Amino acid sequence: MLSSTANAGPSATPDVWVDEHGDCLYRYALVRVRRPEVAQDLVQETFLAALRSQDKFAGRSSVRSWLCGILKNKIVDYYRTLGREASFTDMAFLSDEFSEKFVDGGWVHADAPKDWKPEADVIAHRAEFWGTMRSCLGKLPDRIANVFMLREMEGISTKEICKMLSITESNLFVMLHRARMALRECLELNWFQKDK
Amino acid sequence: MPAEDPNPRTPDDNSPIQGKNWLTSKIVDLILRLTFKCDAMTHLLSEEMDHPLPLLTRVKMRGHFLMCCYCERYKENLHFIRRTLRSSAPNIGDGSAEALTSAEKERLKRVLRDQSPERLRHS
Repeated sequence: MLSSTANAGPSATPDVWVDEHGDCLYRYALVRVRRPEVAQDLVQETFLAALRSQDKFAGRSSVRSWLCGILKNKIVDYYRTLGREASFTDMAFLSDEFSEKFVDGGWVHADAPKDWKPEADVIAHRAEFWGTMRSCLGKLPDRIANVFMLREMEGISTKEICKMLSITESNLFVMLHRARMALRECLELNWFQKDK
Repeated sequence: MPAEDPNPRTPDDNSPIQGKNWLTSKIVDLILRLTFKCDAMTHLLSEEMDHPLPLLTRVKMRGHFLMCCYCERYKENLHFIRRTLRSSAPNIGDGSAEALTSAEKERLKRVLRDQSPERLRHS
């Protein structure tokens, strides 16, 4: 039996992969696709793909990074196969211009953005903060959240996202703008201003 | 008696030019005429994160910051979100209670064993 180490190599049994990397991969997928059953399927597909390609693993990175890389591609494929039609919730979300935040084009000062600096860089490593982040991401309509994840988390270029999802660049900019504004607002209300 | 400002600046407003007297209020009006309003700024600040904007637009945006710390904070907040998501991306789920159930892990192992080459099944 192979020993169970954190860096169990590609020659380790798949059982060891599941025990050592299963939860991490599941969480990685869950935060991006937000549906447990989809996240589970993606983890399974990742392990199966890893199994098929383990001979090609050169060992230049850790097994976990290798598996995460495979999972990332699976997630991008999942986004790509999602329907291209905007749902009703997307339309409602996109048409709401956060109009109550502005008066005559300027911020309503009492509700204007706050300074996050004093705590921003300290809290980024706290698990509770990530709980709030996940909850805020979960409030975005699916399609908008997918576009936001591809751009902000995976760092995929706007041109590539447009091609992948068959949308225009101006449509993409609107979706990203709305997602950023909503996520910023949610984090401010539920984390940075929570106890103030 | 001057009319009360219906939208007063907050105590934490640290914009270099706040329009609190006649002269600075005229400068604020001028900047607003020459640059953008805050709602347009939020669109541009988001777009700037995805592709470079023309030089004149960027200069106007810098000008707007002179009298609006709120838009500057908006920009900083968006960049904080991007920086945090990207730097922590592989570990974003760590520390959460979410995990595969034992049953799901067993199911996964069965699926993988069925697919494994013989040598792995018996290793």
